Amino acid sequence: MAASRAFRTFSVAKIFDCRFFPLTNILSKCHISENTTFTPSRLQCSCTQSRCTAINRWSSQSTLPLAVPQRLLFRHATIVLGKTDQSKDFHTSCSRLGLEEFFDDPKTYGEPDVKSGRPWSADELRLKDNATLHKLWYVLLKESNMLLTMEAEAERQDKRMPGSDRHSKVKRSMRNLQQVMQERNEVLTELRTGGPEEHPAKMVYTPFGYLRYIKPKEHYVPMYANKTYHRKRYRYKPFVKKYLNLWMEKENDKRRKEKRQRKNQIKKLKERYPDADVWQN
Amino acid sequence: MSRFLRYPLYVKGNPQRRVFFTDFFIKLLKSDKERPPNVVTFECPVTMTKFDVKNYLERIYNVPVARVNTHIIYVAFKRDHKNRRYKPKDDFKLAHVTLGEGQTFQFPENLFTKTEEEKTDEELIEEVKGRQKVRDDQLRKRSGVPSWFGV
Repeated sequence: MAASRAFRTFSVAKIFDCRFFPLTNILSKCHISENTTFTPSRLQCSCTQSRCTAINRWSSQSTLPLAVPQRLLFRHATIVLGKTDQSKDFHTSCSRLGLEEFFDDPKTYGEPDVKSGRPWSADELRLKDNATLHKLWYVLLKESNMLLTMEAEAERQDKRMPGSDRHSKVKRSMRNLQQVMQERNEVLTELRTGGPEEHPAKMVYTPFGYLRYIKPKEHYVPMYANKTYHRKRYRYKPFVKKYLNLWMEKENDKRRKEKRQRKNQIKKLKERYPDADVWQN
Repeated sequence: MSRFLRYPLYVKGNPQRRVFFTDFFIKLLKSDKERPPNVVTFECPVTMTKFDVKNYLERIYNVPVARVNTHIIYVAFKRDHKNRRYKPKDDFKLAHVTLGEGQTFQFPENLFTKTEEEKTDEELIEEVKGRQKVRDDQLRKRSGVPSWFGV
């Protein structure tokens, strides 16, 4: 019983981790090689057309060779912000930067609707290079910032924002991008460590004999030399096992009782209403 | 850095931390008060620091920043019909950013209204004529029977 309960808590905690810390792995592992320089002007790509088409702008421009994904795994660790075989097709124009980017294109002011394409799907993004995804992330980030400001302003003025469906599309494509990055990281960690996580969570015993979930945590002092770590009681004494058995007996009785009650209830219902379909577990 | 990232432990001599996929979102707001023309207000997540705001604007938007002042706005709890408390909105941070190098910013007006150009009399007459023509064509199709007559 204790084991099953512990397993349940473990799975719940794991789900919690995945949901609220989706980017921890990605951020901790990515690093730029020291030779390359971080240039913000390259982030903005192909701004010649109107900005509302940022959602699916590149699908027509870039025709990708299919042999790329095999190499992607090894290229992942270092993002190279130079020209790669995929980014050759990009058209980079002089970017229009500044605070104007927090607002929509002036052509769309007062129009009933703004047309937009569909969001990026995960399958499309899987074909892309890491450098490409990095650029796309910032294009999407700017777009979502712009839409957030426009929404806030529309709410303040009590007016309808044209093309309000764009925000959900941008969010969906960002979520897909995160998913793709996470997949690549997991593959890399599997190559490196043999498991999906680099620092997997631990299940430890409490002094009362139950299992408990522990998040991975960094320490200044390694485990073998850490006094505070050894002072923690991740074990239980042998006399506890007697009480554990008693507790498990109690729990089993409880479970059996529930099962019996449910069975009798169904039996009664069937006697009373013989023709009805009684839901049976 | 990021909304949900746990900062790694600092050890002397480590390389500088770099972030490649920030999930900070910021809004540009119109401030209620009158402020000098080189001050812009942003709404940002509570975990964002002054340095984060500065780097965010300088790196991503290429806007020179001289100074950042921040304060957190606490959103009070409300009570629903069962007298349970809930938050109508999450807490947020306001950042008042002073732009550098003599730059100014004015919040644009008429974001949701169209500025109509003045038309000449001839254009107006043509517009009315076009509308009349559509109506005439409809009548001709129905051989002179008005639209209200019929199923």
